[in-house]
Amino acid sequence: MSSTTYVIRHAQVLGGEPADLVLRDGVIAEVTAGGAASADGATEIDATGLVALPGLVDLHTHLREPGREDAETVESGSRAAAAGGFTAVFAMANTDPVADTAGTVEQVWRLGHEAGLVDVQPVGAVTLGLGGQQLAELGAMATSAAQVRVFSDDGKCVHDAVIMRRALEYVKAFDGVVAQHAQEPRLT
Amino acid sequence: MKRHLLSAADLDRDDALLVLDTAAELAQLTDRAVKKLPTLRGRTVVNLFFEDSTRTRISFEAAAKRLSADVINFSAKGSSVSKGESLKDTALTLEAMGADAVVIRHHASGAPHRLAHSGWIQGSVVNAGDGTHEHPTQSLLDAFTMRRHLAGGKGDLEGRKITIVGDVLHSRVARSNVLLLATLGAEVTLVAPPTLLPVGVETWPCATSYDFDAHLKDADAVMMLRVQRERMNAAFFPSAREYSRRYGLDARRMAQMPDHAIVMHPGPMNRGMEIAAEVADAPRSVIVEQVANGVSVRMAVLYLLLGGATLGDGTEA
Amino acid sequence: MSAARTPDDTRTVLDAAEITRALTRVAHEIVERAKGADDLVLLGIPTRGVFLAQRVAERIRAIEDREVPVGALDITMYRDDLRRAPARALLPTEIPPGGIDDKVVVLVDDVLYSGRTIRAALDAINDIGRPRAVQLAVLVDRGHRELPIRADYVGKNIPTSKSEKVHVLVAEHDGEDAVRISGHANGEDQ
Repeated sequence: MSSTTYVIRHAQVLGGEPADLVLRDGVIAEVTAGGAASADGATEIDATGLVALPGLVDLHTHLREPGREDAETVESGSRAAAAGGFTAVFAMANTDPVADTAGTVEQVWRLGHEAGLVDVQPVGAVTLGLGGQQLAELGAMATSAAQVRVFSDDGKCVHDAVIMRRALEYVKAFDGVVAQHAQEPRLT
Repeated sequence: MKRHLLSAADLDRDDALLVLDTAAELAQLTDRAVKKLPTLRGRTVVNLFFEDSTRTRISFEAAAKRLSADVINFSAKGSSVSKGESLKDTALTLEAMGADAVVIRHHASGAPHRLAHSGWIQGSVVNAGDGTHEHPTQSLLDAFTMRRHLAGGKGDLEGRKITIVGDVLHSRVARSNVLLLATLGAEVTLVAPPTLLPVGVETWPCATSYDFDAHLKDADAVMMLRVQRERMNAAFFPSAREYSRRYGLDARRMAQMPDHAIVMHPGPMNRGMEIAAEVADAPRSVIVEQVANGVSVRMAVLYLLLGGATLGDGTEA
Repeated sequence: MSAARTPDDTRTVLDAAEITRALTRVAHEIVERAKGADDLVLLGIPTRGVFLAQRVAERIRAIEDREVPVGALDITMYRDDLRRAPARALLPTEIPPGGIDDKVVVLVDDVLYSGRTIRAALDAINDIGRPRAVQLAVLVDRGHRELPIRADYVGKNIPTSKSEKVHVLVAEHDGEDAVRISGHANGEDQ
């Protein structure tokens, strides 16, 4: 953890009155009235006119890598996320190949780690190839370096009630969740 | 002992110990030139098998024959059962043939109970596995094997830690083992993916876990259950590879078990699926011994049910 | 009649010293008959026959300075009256490591009565091996044989009525050595 001290001046915390935030060793050590914090040896950042918020989390992004690097990459998506105030993004599984194996989710996670801007958390596919027929190796994804905890077939939806039930039960073993579009794909 | 053996729950601690102690004496027969006792001479034991199970049937057959009983094997395949005969009509036929005991294996849970309590037959009923319900003689032979290795062949299994891993949902072996081992004082932990644990398992006298690795270091015995590949198609788990990685017993996991701990499997094994070949063949694997003990335990059950005076329905001796 | 059936009508027919003397005599007779043969095996019939067999073996060791293998032979599975009572728990059978083939087996039991136990024991022996000879030693022969069986060595012949009960107590199991008879000697079975 960085031992550098930062002072963010005149930030509107949650949109309130301007204040100074003193960040020491990676945590908010002090909040003072705007301009009141000591700058002793600290890196100062002027945030006049800016709002300070907790890092935002986007549970539903498409970083397109691997497969559609022409549209987006983990690195470009990370950058956009950071610029928008997001510190963590969940990358949906409809890549090519689909993020349905430990290998693919680890690749996405590693690319995010290398970009180093936000936490990139791959979402694992619930079923093989998003095909809705057979469970993907959810446990292998959960125990991979990516430690996947969110699984979704996203727009494809898990439309088989039995598969959905099994998936919901199965992820209990590693405290996972299954995210589902609230739609019945055969009716839309 | 009650007149029938339908569930491991039919046995209280004294009954269970009586069966195990009797089996221990009968096990000596294996070393003798004449592996036969005259005890059930003139009695008829029917093996009524509605489901294929060669190993269980031959185990009961060997047990009955070593006690000199007459054995009739009634397999549902190619019999009038496959022509639509009801369990009742089959039972009445057996009764007319003078069956003193009916050993029944049936795909429907509760069939042995129906046979025992319908008034169709007078003899004792032994459950040799019904549906996904119970398989009490398997649990007795498992307890017998554990007692030999973990308790000096005597007494109960007080405080012994038993980890049972695999398809608990469809396993009559697991259910009977949990009941019997709890009766004998053992602490049982069922390990399975959540999809293969039955609804209501929290009411069973055991603990449950999804994490196999957490239950190796303090286990006195690890029992692997057979997992059928067909379960994969019903989405109970994603793949054989994932199942085996999360819930299979391989050499790495076996090395985490205490030195004295044994490996068990009711058979038939899926080598490479729930159990690695090198584990199945390891010195601490007692899988082959379980088969031998099965004959002794089934002899004990048949002797205790049939060897004495005929009791009235529901009477305990 | 029933007024006399009190614990008081129990009488001791052999005390501890008499039992010791009887077993010593039996040991001498076994040795005498064996003529120095070293192929003796004593098989006690549980429960008390096993302790008596161990004591006879000790006497033989004292007399001859040699070890005689002692085992136990449970005859429950060979009984002819199994169906008259609920199934009984089995008692231990332990055949000495050398086995019984071509040995002289001396069966040891506490009381010889109908002879049915010994008949069962002979059947059991037959399934275990083929001894050169089988002999029978009992502490008490109370008569009333129902089969053509007699003992080779008898500690004491005690004529009894069938309505009487003979109780053999051994220190190892009962805390004391004694043979007692209870019940009536008038020969009436109840």
